[in-house]
Amino acid sequence: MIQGELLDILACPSAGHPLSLGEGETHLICRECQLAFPLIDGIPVLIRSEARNMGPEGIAGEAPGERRQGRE
Amino acid sequence: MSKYTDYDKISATYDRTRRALGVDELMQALARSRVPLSRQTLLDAGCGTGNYALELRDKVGRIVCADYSLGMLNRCREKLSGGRGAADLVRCDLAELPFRAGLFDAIMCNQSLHHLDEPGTGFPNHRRFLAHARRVLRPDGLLIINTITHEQLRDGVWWGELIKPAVDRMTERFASVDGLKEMSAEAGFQFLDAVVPITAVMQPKGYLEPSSLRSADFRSGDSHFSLLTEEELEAALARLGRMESDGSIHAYISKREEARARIGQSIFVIAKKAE
Repeated sequence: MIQGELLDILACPSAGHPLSLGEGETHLICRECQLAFPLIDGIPVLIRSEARNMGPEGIAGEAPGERRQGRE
Repeated sequence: MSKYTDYDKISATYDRTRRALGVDELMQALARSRVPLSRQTLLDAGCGTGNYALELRDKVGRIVCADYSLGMLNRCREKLSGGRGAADLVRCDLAELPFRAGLFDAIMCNQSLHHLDEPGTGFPNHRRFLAHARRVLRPDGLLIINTITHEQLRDGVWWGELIKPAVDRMTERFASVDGLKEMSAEAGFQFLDAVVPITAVMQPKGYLEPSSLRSADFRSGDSHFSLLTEEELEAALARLGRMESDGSIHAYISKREEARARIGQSIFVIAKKAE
């Protein structure tokens, strides 16, 4: 649903952290901020007010992120 | 997001009248980069329905199209689908660009900045955009802001004089070119040039027809009208009607167009990320 090349350039709008694709590929996850940003028809919605706060349990329930390049 | 225009609603009709103005000048600006156009990674910040991306996507290495409005992004996707070099689409707030640092060779921001801030606030979201723009650009990366000078807001469309209250309100939402230069210098940019595409207009279809102002579709392609009250619009159309009745309308438009031909409708402010 989302191209890997696109995921590589995206960052959390809150603080620039890298993002990972969530379970079911319906969200992009910022583990640092514990936020889940929706993917709607393949378009990442990277707006803080649209994100869901996952909390520590929610983050723990996600598979380990594969894309964890450090922020430059 | 736009502080004063509902672009989700307008996305249905925007392209009936609007076109990308100054594509040649934009490409000349992008050619200032050390990176050849065909290898550039370009951010279209405020892509709207993709009119500029459509013109550039065969010429630029990669385009990332970003906008707040889902309606506009969906139009952009329809427009760009099926062609070579499908663009990436991202929904975001331009004041919080959600991209990793140092990625883009260039950023173009076409007719979008004036939607970010309320009047009289000192343009805080413009400044946030500029800070993020600097962060996500490569060293020496280019920032090209397509905007409208205060003079162009008044005299760049022949109907500007009929809708003076809206023009005054628009002027408060547009940073002046000097203001943009100052803000971008504070954000760490070096000003390179300001270029006016002089020969064309943003709404070519029906532009010279007085009756165009009576079309809601036509008016929705110029966000001046979003800032006009119903009463002010009625007064403007009444004045238009009187000029049509007494035959003075065409001389009026000709005279107004003399000013527009001299000053243009828009300006590209071109800057480079400074060391």
